[in-house]
Amino acid sequence: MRYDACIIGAGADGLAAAATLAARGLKVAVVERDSHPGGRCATREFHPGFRASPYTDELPPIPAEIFWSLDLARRGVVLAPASASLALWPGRQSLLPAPAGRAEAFRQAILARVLADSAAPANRGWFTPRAPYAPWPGEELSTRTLSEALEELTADPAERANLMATFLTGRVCNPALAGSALQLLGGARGGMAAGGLGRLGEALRVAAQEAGAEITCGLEATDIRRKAGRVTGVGLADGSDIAARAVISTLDLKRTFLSLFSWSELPRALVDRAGAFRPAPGTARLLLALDALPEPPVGTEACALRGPIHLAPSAAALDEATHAWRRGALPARPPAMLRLVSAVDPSLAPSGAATLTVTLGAIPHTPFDGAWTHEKRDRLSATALAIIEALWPGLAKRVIGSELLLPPDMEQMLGVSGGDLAGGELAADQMLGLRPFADPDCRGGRTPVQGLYLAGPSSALGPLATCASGVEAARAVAADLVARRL
Amino acid sequence: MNALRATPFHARAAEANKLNAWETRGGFTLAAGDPGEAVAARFGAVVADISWHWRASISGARAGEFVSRLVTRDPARLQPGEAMRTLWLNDAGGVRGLGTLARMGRESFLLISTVDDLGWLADGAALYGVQVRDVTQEVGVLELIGPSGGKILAAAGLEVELQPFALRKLFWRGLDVTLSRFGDGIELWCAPDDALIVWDRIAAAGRPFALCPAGQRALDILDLESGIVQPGRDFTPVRDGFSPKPAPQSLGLGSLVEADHIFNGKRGAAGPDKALVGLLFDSETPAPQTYVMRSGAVVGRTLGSLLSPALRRAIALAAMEPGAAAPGTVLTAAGAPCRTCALPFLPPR
Amino acid sequence: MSEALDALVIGGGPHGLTAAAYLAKAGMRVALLEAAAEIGGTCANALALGDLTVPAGAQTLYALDPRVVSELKLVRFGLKFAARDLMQIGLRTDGKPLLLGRDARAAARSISAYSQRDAAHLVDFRRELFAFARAQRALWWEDGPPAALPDELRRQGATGAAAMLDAAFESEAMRAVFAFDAMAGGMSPAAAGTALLFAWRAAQEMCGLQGAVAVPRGGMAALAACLSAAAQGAGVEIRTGAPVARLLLSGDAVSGVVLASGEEVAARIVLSSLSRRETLLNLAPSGAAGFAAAKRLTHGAEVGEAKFVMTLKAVPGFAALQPAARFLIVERLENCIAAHAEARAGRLPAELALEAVVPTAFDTALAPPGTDILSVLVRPLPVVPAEGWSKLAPRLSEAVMAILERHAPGLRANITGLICVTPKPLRDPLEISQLRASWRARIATPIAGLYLCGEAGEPVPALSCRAARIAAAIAAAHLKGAAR
Repeated sequence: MRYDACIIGAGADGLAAAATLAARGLKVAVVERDSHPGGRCATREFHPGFRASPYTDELPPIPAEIFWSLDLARRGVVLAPASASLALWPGRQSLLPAPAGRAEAFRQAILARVLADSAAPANRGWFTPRAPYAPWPGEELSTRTLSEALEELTADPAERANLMATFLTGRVCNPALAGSALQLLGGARGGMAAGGLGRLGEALRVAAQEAGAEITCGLEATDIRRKAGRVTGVGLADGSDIAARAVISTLDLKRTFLSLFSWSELPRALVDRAGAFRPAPGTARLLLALDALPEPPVGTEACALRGPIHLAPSAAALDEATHAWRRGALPARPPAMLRLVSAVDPSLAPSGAATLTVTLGAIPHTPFDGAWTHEKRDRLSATALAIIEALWPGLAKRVIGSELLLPPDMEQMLGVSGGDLAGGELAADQMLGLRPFADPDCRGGRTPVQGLYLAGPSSALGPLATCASGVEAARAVAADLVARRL
Repeated sequence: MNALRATPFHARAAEANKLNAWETRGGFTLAAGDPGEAVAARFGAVVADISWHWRASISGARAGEFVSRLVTRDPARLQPGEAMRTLWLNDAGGVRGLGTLARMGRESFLLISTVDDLGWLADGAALYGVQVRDVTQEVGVLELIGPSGGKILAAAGLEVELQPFALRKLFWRGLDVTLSRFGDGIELWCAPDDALIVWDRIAAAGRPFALCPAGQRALDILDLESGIVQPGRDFTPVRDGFSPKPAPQSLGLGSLVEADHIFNGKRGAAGPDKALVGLLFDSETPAPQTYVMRSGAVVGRTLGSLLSPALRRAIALAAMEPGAAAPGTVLTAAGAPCRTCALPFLPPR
Repeated sequence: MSEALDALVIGGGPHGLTAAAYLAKAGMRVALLEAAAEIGGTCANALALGDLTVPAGAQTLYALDPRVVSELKLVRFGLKFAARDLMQIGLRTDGKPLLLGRDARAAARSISAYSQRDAAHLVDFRRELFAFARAQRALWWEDGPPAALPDELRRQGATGAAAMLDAAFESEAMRAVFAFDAMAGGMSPAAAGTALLFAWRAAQEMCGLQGAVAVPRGGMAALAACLSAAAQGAGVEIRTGAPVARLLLSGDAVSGVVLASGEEVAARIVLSSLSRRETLLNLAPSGAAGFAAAKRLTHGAEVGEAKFVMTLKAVPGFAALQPAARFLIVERLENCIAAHAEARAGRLPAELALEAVVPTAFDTALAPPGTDILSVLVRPLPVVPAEGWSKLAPRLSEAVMAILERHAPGLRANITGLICVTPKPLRDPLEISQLRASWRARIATPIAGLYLCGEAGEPVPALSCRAARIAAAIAAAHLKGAAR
């Protein structure tokens, strides 16, 4: 049976793409390597009775139109509104409301533009003139540094560091480099889901299946079959094939082009671009099960604990951490963001207990002195707990269970290259019109390979919004099918 | 971080706020009140709390030089105790602020506006070695609007002849107060600790003159009816250092820019001059921030727009091309028909 | 100053002299004010090193506008080049040096010791870079209307030099040899847009060769002398020992300057070859530059370069490879990124990048026989180190000596004199967006009649005189327009 589209990866983007395409009456197959769909949208019971979203607590926001068209609210997705974040310094703290402003306006404008681009069919005709370049909203951020962009909001350096941590949400970057202001675009948070992100994954699966998509789990896609330069289907690990007119890959750029194809069959420029696409500094996640709700640090109100808690953010520490990551060194003081997830969603921990997630930034995928051993993992956990204990005394002794997820673990569990959840560094030459291809024909999720579409974290909308890149690719597929470009 | 602040008159505002309608302006909790209170200002008088307006004190040896560079009108003509309404622009000529500049002393000024811009003033003041300070919370200010305003103050013991845009310090039965006429009514300034005493005195003096307390909604309507443009409400001031929009002329505020005065942003793009006119709608639906059309062509843009209970129609302030600004022209804004009027909408009190 | 002046030029360095000469040739009455006793600015032989005097500024010329040379007829005033096309040589501790001359085949031979792929790729890299650079000359050489940005310029304007070099070359050696140029203007190689620095360098032309690096015969002071002669020949009145204290404004426009002595000099336009910061914050009256612009200017450049000049008893060993060369001594590109961050934090970086030139190897007249001069530029360094230059300078000298000793054993014993020039604190920071802006945007200031004709007007701070030429044209047009 020949499908109209085959989607590789049943994460948020893949399922949203499947639901969008199936709703238009097209035959869609989704192939997922893991035993259940959801990808990053998962809830994991890491200790008996204690659950948390393992990879990240909050995903980028889902655009309102997609939230409603996929009917996610009725399917059980409730997203908590963005909350104020707290910064803990030795001896003091500072509460910062959820940031908005120009960065949010840029995000919305970029979303609108890419979704509009995707709806126009691929420009492959001889006589269609090339449209003149229209500057991207937010392009001015690619020459500015993050510190400078935040200087407009506040002159106080401590508050600026706090704002920086709020936008980076556990990631790191060098805030003094030109182009780092683009991190502002990736800093929007869509809110915690009631019941963990797994509820979102479940709702998206239901949306896709009820629309008519077929989801196959437990099978890995190993090749993309092509004939005369056009994509004809996907080869699976068990030797079988899925024939399809279009393929949407929600894997990141490197995995899509370097593992689903043999290098010799792709144009050299494409292979070079995929290889040179730089990863973002990796994050590690430490999930902690606490036997009782810890006493808040002195001077903090309980309501301040519902939001993200940044531990002593400072621009110099970010700089240092980024350089340490580049060298592959284990950071002495990784930037850390805590979230008392059970304070927002009590179902994540047994009554009276608490679940705490810690996001550590600038963790190398492979330390320079060899792979991650048990000893190194324990050392990292101990370092993290020591840092937390210093700023939040009494917390460490409440820990009854923990799990540490490092970039190699995320790579194995999610299939992301290098354990990089961001799908590529948010640098000036890898964002907006250049993410991932500079070619103006590759708009709206299209790639230089005819019939292959890219959604997921390495696409233009990946870091900006959830499900949007899937919907964008789906619209592009639909537009191209209608215009008989496939 | 930004806990909501209360003005010095909060306690009395809470008692007077029968509808329990509150709103936030400039970080302060204020009684929103009922729009109908604006009509009371045409009868006797209303008293409203404008302590939330941002006030910055500028002082130093070169304060006069700094202020001269900052604002679009020459402050040299101001004597101590005099004030003027003025704009200040960013480097490219975009409007950063609109407010009242008062000279308090030879090298001491006070800048009052509804939107704060302390960062900009501080940046500029650093170049001149001048001190800039936010003094919003050092004073409580009431505004008395209405034909009986002067009589109420006289009855309370504040007998004073004030010119428009002037201020005078007085000693009033044991309290240090200042009286000013920067807007349509008379402002009474006092120390925050004395606020409730002042309110009570005014309320007592005003009883025979039908004095009512008014909320912020009524104040907005009174401003519009008099043709007073306020930043934040009627237009968004630019917060960038280098964006040329909105230009003063495009807001109809070209009259506040003196051509032969040298000020920051003078060399920016100016644009064609637009006139600030009033629009009277045929219906009660206001139309803020929309385009104004005449036979399908855009001829202007509305700034602020509200329902005026006195006129029982929606009114708006608009920046229009001079050709379309003649009173009585029929236009359309947001699909609703309207007519231009000369400002102020209602005869002055 | 008997007659009324049309134009005043502040600063008697090569930029100021060029601007003055052009204005005089356009028929204006021009005076040039130089604060020091000698004309020449950073090109003048102002530093004493034993019996010699050496300049404090650039050691090579790679960006001098050929139209300045021809239009001002500098050859007639004595400008000759001792070296026309310095070879780029990368010295390495882990292998043989990389000899990257204009002949790509010979270059390929030395690269193939490190990587065959890079050796083959260098030809394509150079060809594409030079072609792209020539295409951008419309933007970087002419003061035309800003053209719509072609895709490649936009893409490169977002790419960091490190990313570009990583994509172009696989061997550490090749990446490192370009790392020095990637840090021009105090930029980090990882910063977005630094890839354009290579294109800008390749867009220059010296002695008819694209992307060449030349050294004038007689050193940079000879260039200053030629420019001075050209300016005087055109009728410019040059006043030395006349430092400018502030600008005089009448209303919104400039009307002259006030010297430190109190003397007022009136002129209808003023061209300043000083930095933007110096001109608009120090010389202009407070607030005249605009509050937002002044706030941006308060932060000076944080990372800069230092210059070491030493006299030696004998030529250093590496000069035997090729006397007319610039020797780039950098270990790894990644370390330069970390070094930049350290310099920004105010510390001496662990790794440094050096560019060394031995001018006496090809210009024997610079020093008496038996003495050689070694001139070294060191990047990246903090402009204002946390501990102060008095403490940092000896540690820096030690670090530089150690690096040089590795490549030229016995150098230390041969040194007869050493001088260190620390980074200038008032330099404007380089903003990569300047590389895509128009000339007028960089040259014109918020004050009418005041123009920047020095490095502040260039897209990348370098001794180019192109900004001076264009500023003079803009100023002359302004005067003619005003006269009408």
